Amino acid sequence: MRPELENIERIERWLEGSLGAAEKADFDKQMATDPVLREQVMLQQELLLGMERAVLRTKVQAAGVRAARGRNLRSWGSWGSAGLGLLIAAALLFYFYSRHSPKDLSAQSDTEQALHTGARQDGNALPVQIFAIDAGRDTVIETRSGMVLAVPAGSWLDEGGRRIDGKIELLVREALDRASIIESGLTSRNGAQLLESGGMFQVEARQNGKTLSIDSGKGLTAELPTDSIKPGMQLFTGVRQADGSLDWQKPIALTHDLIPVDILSLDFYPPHYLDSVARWGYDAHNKAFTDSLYYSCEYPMTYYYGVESEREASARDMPRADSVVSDVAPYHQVQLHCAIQPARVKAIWSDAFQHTLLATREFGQRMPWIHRTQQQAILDLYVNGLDQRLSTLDSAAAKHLTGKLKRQFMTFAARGEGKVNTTSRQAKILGEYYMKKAKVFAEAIRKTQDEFWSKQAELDNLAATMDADHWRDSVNRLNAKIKEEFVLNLTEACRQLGIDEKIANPPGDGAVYQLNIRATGWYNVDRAVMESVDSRISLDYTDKQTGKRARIAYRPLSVTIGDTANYTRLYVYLLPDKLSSFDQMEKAGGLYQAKLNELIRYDLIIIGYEGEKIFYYAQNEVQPGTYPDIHLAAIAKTALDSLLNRQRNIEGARSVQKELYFLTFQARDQHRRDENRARLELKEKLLEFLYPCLVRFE
Amino acid sequence: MDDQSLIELIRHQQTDRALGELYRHFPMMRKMVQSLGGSPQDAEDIFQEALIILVKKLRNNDFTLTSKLSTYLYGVCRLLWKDSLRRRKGMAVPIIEDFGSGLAEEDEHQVDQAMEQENRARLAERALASLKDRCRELLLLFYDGRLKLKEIAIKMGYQGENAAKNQKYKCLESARDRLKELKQTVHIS
Repeated sequence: MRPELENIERIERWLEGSLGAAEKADFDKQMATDPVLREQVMLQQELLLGMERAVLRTKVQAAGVRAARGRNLRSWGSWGSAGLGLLIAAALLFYFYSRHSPKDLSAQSDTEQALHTGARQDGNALPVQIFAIDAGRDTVIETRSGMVLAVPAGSWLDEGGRRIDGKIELLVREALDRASIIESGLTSRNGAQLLESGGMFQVEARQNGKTLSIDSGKGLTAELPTDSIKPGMQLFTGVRQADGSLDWQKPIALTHDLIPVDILSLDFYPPHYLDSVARWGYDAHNKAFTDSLYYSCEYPMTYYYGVESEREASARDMPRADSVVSDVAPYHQVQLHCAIQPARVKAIWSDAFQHTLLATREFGQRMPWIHRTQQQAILDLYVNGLDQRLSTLDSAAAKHLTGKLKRQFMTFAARGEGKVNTTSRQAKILGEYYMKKAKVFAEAIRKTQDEFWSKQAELDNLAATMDADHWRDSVNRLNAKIKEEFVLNLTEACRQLGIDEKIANPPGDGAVYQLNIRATGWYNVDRAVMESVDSRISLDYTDKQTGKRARIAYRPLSVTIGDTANYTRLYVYLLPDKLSSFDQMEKAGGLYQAKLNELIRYDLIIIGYEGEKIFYYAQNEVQPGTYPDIHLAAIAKTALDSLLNRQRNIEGARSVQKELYFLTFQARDQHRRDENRARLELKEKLLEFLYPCLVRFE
Repeated sequence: MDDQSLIELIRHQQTDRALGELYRHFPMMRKMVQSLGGSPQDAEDIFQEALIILVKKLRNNDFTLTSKLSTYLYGVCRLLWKDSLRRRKGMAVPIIEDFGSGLAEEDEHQVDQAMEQENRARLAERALASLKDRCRELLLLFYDGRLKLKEIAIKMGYQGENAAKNQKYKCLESARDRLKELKQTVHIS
């Protein structure tokens, strides 16, 4: 840094009190003797005051303009886009908007340079006001001179013509009164003709240093303050001349015929629909999604009452899922007459209506208000009057309405907005097309919805049946397993006790069992065995008559699996060689545990799922103890099947296969049910949003 | 909104909201200025100047308000209008010049000082206004936007923190030179 600049830094630090003690003493001493330094300090101090004043003055003036208008300019919603449109029609404005390509950005610095060296660049001497705004939100800003700019969400495009979001900087230069126009060196010349100016302004936007362009389908709306409205005012675009001056060209009458834009770039959704979709956590920028969501709320609609999941049903102490379907009629027909039918919106928001009155920004501004009327007839009126002036249709709409809405449509009418050249014949054809399409779309939407939800109801029924079957199988399997293990243990206990047992009817089937008793006394070995099997605790039974002992040990096995977090589902099975079934090991903390019966040899099988991928581990004849940090290997579904089929306990292995099939089905079905639930929740929110008259069927 | 809440707003960087509230007093001030020979435009200029002084005072934690905010504002407006009239001597329109502010002597003294300070700040403001856009933007971002040089460098596309720092001091230097010039011009005229 130059010594002069270092000196400025030192003064700044002195002013903010951040000099070290020694430095400060030195500085104070120097200042006492150096009048130049003293002056520099004073000037710098005054500059700080000047900066504070400049900012504060802007704020005070803005407050003044706000107070004068008595409006809340912050909120687009409360103000309404329609009001803005009126203002632009009434305002007197010259307008220049320079379309810089990104390449021109360097030219912009050249411009500054040029200004410095004295070359002429009309308008560039005007101070730039920079506003940081969010391109994704509707924003209204107000400039120092009181010009109000309404910037709709998504109205900016990058160099590739793609819509951009996020923070951008809006740069405004303005010369709204005669003094600033003269001072800035701006002329109001159109060729050789001198124009009477009602104000000039420039709007530019940039993001990360790149200049943005305005989406012609959206456009900004500007309101310029004026004392009196003069007839014949037009909007001119400033074109930079070789000598740096601006020539004002391409005049557009402020009460002009309307210019169609791409109809698909307009927003025909109900007001705040997209905001709400975004607030509910969905992608509001995905038009395919927002369309399908909106159109799915057609009426008369099929309002679906889904089959609840088992968990929900039991939580609410309801009968199991499989019985719900027949108990409650799953469909309710709801007729709603308090919104514009989405199918009608779909019918007009299409290429068929390109180049018509509906494809104008002006009509786009009426759409939120048409939605607010909740009257189909109002929309129909516009669609059936494509060859008419927009203001004529506004008046007709106002006649149907009352109160605030009537006033709004009268305000629209007062703009005197014209028409798009459409012949009566074209208009008639399109009007008929609209009615036909609206009906077809409504029918199609209803049919698609019905088909979807009927299919879902079928799947729900299937899931409920599978669930019930699985539950029954599980109970049976458990009963069978206990029975088999009981017989096994009792046989062994009797052998150890020297009892000649013959078990005719083991428990589980209404359960009586027989023992051949060869001595007197009360035999309750069966009870002890049952308790041991049931609780999986070791049997240690002494026959009081004979003093003989029967012992069957249950010993703990624990297994830990590495990388459990990798698996969405994990199942740990034991296949006992002497039983026809399987055991599922219980999970406690990170540990899978079981008690092994010493009479049985167990094979350990672990199956993990990572999405659809399967991982596997097998260990024959596991011994009591701990198997730490087991790692699974990937296996194909067919390989797993054949592996299970080779197990010596083939019946147990088949049960495992069946169980896995069910669990996989259930996991997939749970996903389907979750999606449906989210779908229904979203739809419910949307219905309440779209149809204020909706009465919920509780 | 009560006075204390308004002061809190100003001290917590919510000046815009506070100004909106304060503007409710404008009709009364306008009436006063007009009754003392001013135009509606004079009234608005005076009122806005009074707001600048008031906000700056309230930002200072040492400042204690001895009356109601509206009373104070009213007094500041009267003082400012009186001062403005004094400067306009020679005007053809007969005007009433002899009126009190209604403020305590100490407050009146402070407001006089503030007015003097604002006159100097106004000149500095003009010096800043004559800077190149980028210079002015940089300085405002640093001193008002409270951005760090690093952030400014990113935002404005400077090579780095040092480049931004260097540029900042260059801009300050230009502003200082310009202010010095202005002062001399004012002095001569």
